[in-house]
Amino acid sequence: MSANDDLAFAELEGRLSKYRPAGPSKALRARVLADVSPRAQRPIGKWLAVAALILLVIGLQWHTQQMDRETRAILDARETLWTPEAEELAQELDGDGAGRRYLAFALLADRQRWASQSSAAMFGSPGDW
Amino acid sequence: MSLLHRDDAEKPPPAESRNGRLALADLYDRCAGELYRYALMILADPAGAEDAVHQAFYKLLRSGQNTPELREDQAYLRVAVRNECYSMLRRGQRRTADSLSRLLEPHSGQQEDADEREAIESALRVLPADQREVVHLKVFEGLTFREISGRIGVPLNTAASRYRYALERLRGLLNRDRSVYP
Repeated sequence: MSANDDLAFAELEGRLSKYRPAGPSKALRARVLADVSPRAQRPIGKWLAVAALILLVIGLQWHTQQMDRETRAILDARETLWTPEAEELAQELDGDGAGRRYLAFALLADRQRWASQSSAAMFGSPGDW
Repeated sequence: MSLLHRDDAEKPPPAESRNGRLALADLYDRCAGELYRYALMILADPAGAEDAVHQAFYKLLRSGQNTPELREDQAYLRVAVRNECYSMLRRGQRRTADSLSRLLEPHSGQQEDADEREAIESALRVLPADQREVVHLKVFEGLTFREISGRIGVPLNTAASRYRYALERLRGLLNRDRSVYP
């Protein structure tokens, strides 16, 4: 760097240092401070989403348990209903054909009635809700 | 002492919030002017500079780095603003340079020469961001080359040569303007 450069740079620095970068607008302060408002500090939305997810999981678990219970009840009923006596009755009604179909239909209707009665006893009728 | 710190140094000690941390408003009042000016000189874009400062404060709050030590917060914010500015430049987020937006203002109590200011602003806009940054740190913040090299993480010679290139470029641009508009 020559002496002339130094002189010119000194003059240029002198010109630059008469100024300073412009300051921020007042809106920036409000914008930054808005981040620490009570609403911003407590991310309620996040906690609501977590609570909703937990409730959904609990609800699904409960529903699955109910379905499982009902299924078991129906299966148990089928095993209970198709007894040797029922088999004998089917034979008496018409051997292997129509009598067996009739009895199967009767048992199915009986099972559905039993299931609806047991769920009503467990949860009450919709009118009770 | 930095030119920009002169006003801040005369302020009373910062008030603390109930949990012992610096109140954000105090921190903002002490640091935001300097941070914004720094970002403005890197980006040459007032809106982008505001975004960078906002992001830096937001990161400070979210990181839980806010400490009772003003100096630590200032250093954190300065690094955050710088990182944000260069990220914006890399992502091409800087808005098209608006020749009407002001980059400079005269020191308080000084007469403004609008033509000269606009000529310097136009010349500064032409410089690359890293050269504008060094000019800012040297001329406007009054740092030494050693301090600048520590601040921006480059060797001392690099900081000095970057400054020299910037001044050569500025001198050329301002001389050209002077020959066009004597």
